[in-house]
Amino acid sequence: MSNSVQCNLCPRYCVIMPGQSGECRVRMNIDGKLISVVYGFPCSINVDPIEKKPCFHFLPGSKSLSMATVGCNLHCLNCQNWEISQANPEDSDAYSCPPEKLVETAAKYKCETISYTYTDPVVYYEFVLDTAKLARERKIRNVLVTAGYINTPPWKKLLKHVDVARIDLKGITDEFYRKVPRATLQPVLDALMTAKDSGVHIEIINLLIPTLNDGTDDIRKLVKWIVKNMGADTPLHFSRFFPIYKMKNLPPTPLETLDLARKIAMEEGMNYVYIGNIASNEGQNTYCPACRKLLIERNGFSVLQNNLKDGKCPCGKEIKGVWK
Amino acid sequence: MEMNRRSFVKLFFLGTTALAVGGILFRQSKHLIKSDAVGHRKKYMGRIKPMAGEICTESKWNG
Repeated sequence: MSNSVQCNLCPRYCVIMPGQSGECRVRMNIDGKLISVVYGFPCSINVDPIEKKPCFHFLPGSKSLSMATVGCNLHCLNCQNWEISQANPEDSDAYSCPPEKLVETAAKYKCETISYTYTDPVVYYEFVLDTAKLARERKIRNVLVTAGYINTPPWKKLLKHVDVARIDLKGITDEFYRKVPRATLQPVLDALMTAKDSGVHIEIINLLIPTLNDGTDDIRKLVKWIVKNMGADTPLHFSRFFPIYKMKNLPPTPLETLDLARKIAMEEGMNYVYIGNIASNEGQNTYCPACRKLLIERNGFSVLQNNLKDGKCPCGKEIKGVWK
Repeated sequence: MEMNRRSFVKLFFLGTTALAVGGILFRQSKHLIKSDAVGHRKKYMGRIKPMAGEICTESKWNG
């Protein structure tokens, strides 16, 4: 047991033997030291619309330099990016792109934000932290796309340097979290509340998987938790499931289920509820909660019209978000 | 208080076991380094690919 190290980053608290890595595959014990083996080595760098994250209430229509390294601390049976999230660094290709070069690339492509996405940025924590600090110096903002499976102290430290947390709330029962992402629910709820206290802009996404978390009781329970703890103005995205990876036995989420989830959320008082991963008219637009006027019209990841004036509806109602 | 031979042997083994377990845990805790200072590796374990024009395109990955 000598020279073993314990990683305190996420609730898994992996105790790692020399030469081995934690559950995330990318935090390794090398000669008794915990090493992030993907620091400076993203496997994917692309320029995406911010709507793809999805972030609908943050600089609509802007470009975001989006990056990821391999590895993830969750093992979702339905992972849509499993080729990189469940890959070992030694088996994968990567760019050599340290924080300085990444920020330079974002500036070169005139991106207003850098998104840490595709896999979970929790596992390349130190890389995110250093890049986010440098990005801020260049007035480039930082977007975390995460499942929020992280311990509170490192989470608080990271939140000081980010502007948006787009957090997955994958379900509202511990049973679901144990079965599908092989994790637990409470740390995610804690991360959401910590993010709220920190003041960063938050958007929540919930992927509806037929038979596993798409029951009306589950949806209502999830929405009630959000309204109570995060506020009714938090943008909420219900996303469509497609059979993939280790969950090919279930059908895609029916459109009716997504519509029903949106209806339930609005009945419970949520003001900004969206439907993703599917062509939908109403479900991808932003409407004023006061006068119901169409404020932002979207088609896929494109913004067709934006009628907001200084973050307000023409009726005067302030719309929650970061608009410039 | 008098102690019979059987109780003494029992206590002796309980005591030595507790000491041994405590010693192992103490020794191990010294080696169990916490992750407050995480290092970086300068060399990638996999293959390095060149940065090319595909950066300016939308990703195939979700999110």
